[in-house]
Amino acid sequence: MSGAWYLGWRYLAFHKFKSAILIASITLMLFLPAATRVLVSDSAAALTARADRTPLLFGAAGSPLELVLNSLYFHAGKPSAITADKLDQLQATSLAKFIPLNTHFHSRDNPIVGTTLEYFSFRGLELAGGRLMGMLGECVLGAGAAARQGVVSGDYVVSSPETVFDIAGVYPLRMKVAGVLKPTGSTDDAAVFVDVRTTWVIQGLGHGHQDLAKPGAAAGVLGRKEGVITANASVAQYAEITVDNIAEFHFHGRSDNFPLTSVIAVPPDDKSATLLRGRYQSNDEGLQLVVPATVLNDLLDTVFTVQNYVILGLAMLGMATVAVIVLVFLLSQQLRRGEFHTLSRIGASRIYIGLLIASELAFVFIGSLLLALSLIIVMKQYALQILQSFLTL
Amino acid sequence: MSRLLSMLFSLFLAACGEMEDTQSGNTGTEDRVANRPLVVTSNYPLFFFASQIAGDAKQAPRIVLPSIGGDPASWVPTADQIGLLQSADLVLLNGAGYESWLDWITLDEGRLTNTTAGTTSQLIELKELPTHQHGPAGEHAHLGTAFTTWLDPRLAMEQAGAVAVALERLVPDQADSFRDKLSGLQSRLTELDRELADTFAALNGQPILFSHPVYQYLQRRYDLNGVSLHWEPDAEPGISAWIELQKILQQHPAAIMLWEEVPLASTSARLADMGVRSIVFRTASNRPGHGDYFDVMGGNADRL
Amino acid sequence: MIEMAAVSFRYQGNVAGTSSAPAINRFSMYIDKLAVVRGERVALVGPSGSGKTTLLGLVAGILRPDSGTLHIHGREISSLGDAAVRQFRIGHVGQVFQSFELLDYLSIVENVMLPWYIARDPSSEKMGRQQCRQRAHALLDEVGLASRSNDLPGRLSQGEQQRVAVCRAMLNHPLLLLADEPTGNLDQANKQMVVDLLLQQAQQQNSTLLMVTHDQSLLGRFDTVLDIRSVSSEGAPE
Repeated sequence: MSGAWYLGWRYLAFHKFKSAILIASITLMLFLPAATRVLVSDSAAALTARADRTPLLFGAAGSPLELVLNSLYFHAGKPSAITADKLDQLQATSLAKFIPLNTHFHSRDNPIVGTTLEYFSFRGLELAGGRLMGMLGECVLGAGAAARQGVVSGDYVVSSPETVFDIAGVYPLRMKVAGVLKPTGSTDDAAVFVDVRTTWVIQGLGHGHQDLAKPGAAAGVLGRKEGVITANASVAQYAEITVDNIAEFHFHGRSDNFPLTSVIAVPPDDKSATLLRGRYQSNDEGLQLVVPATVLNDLLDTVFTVQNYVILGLAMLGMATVAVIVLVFLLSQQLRRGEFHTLSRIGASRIYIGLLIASELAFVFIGSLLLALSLIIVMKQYALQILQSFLTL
Repeated sequence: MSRLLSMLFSLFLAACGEMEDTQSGNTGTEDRVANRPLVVTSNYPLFFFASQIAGDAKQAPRIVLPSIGGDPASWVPTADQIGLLQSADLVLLNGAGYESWLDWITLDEGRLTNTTAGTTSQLIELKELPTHQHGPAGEHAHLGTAFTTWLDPRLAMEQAGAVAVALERLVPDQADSFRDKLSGLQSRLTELDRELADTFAALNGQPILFSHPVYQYLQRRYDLNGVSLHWEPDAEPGISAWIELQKILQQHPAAIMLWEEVPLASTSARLADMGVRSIVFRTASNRPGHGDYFDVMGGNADRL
Repeated sequence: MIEMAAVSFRYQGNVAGTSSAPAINRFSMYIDKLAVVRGERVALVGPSGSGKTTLLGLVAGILRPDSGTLHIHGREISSLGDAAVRQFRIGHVGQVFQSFELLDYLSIVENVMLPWYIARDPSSEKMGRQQCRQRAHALLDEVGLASRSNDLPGRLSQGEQQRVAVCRAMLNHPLLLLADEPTGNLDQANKQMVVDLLLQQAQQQNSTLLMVTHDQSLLGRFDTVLDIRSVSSEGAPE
């Protein structure tokens, strides 16, 4: 290595603290705008991919964005519901495969997604263990949900009450975990999948009665008088559907009127898709038809605009950082005048001393660049997962 | 603006869960089609029809009737049986409310075929709601739609046709074979219809009794003058039941009562004392101990 | 070895020096004739501001005479270009300074190797890196500091630092050894030691030693005591 480069390197190594601060500053200056762009573009690509794979979405009239966020990403909003008879209407058209969704409830922080078995093949979800749900009251957990709740096949999860003070007396539903899915890196990992009718049970549209007249329930009985049984607080605080009591579960009212969040439509070909869109374009009959990819692209345009402003702001910050770094260098050179004089007296030329300073700058910049690149690579690989683990959905 | 920011943030969080989406697709069905698709039926008549139509060629679909104790109408599938239903490429349903377990079992709707879906106009609505008690089993009520559709050979033919269509969709390559076999089956059903018509014609409209309300389609097809009770073959009728029977006989002097199975000797003896002969007319809803659907129905005709 | 004839020099405006050397204004000197033979050990004395450091600077080629000739070891330095003078200085002139002037971020052995690092193309110099390192170690060994070759200067005493500076000056087997008050910041014991070292090295290498000193007690050890006023005229307080 040329002497100047070596001396430059040794100077930086000796002044570790100063060098580290300089490198860190420049690294951040390089990393932040790049990371912003990578994060936004990767997020957009991932979101768009999922939206692209969802051809059409039906829901209640209202915000298309909220409908898409809730149905594709299980966003914790509560869009208006449609009734189940709409699903029957759609199926009668025979223009697509129709997959209902009801995403109103949660099990702790994990969204409960009421749907049908077709959803699993539609999203390419595969089992890591156990089986798919076989009956009401069973559930299948995404890999992330299972890890978060610390359950495996055969364990149980409980639906969360909507409010703390649920005076309606709709108890949480204890659901058996029939299976756990393989991780997909998608929103499905965080979900608890159930039969859509199970969500109606959770909502209280269907239930079973704990028979307090049976001997086994004696502990829950406060008193009996003239055929009236008064229960105490020890009566089971959750409902659970089992093979033994399934016969006691029943729905009240017509299932046609039961709620759904949305219906995913998967037409087999373009012609069917066109016919379907033509039939529901005017959004009559209380149904809204959206193309998730279009809705998302509109939103992402806004995101990219915001991103540009963020990057602009970061660039200005970067310029200020560069100014400070230049100042630091200049001050540093001032302090080193004696050293440069010594070098000059021994025989170093001005070019040599210039090269010495330049080598320090080069090392700092190259080091920062390498570090920034490494961070971007790591971020591209893991950032979304790390953020997901910290920012629970 | 804050709402937009909230949505953007939510979108960002959602994207945190979206690294990549796999799109492996489900090739299970395609694999199974290549290796004899699995067809599960919900009762014996459908099993019989499907078996007849599918045939026993090497690549013919496998027709399975789960092991069900008692009347399949009361079937509560076990976890393994649910697994069998879920793994089937095709599930043939009787429809008309026969499969109450559909209300709580999770199945892929695309693989279900309701064999009476095309005959809903011919289904018999049950309008009365009598409550009654069967010994220790507790009260229950019949309502909705009568579901023993296969007791009417004409409806049975429709169901067989629906089975054939479903099998053709499942294995298009064997469509010709299915149609041929369907034709043969329908010929035999036509023959059975004629035989039963002749048999019931001999009754000449005389009043009969049905021990249980499961003969609605038989009654309608052959214009039988019948009244349904709610007696079980293996249960001793209570005093109120006998009193009710006497009242009915005053208005409806039947000399025959059809039973799904052989009734208790004491019951048939007492009925005989009252001038009512017990005749077994099996519904063939479950797999017979011996013979097939036509043997069972033929035996019914013979006993009449 | 050193021959100066009719050399005149004048500082142009403010001269930016190190923190140890004040700025010099309007200083000029004229040397009519000066000759020092090869291997001679000369103590250069004179009052402050009489031009001793300036003379060393002219001899080293750091300062360029306005007129006159300067020959060192038969070579006319005064007519060489800046680059050639620097090369000559690196390769043939060893310098020891009053304030040691070691680089605090280089180890002792690297400080000794400093002239090698500064040379324009180290790979083409008479010593390769390995050879240079060995030479530096050997020099440090002579002064009893070989075991501390990887220490940084901040961990050495002043006497030890000056010994390292002497080693640095001797790295390239210099023809000319220039020392500007090398004992100015040392205690008595170290003074003697450093002067001994310089004299010894000069003798070993047959280098010509020109050392500026104010210490009268040291003068007896030199071949020649040269009063700057005897060879130059004019000057200004340093």
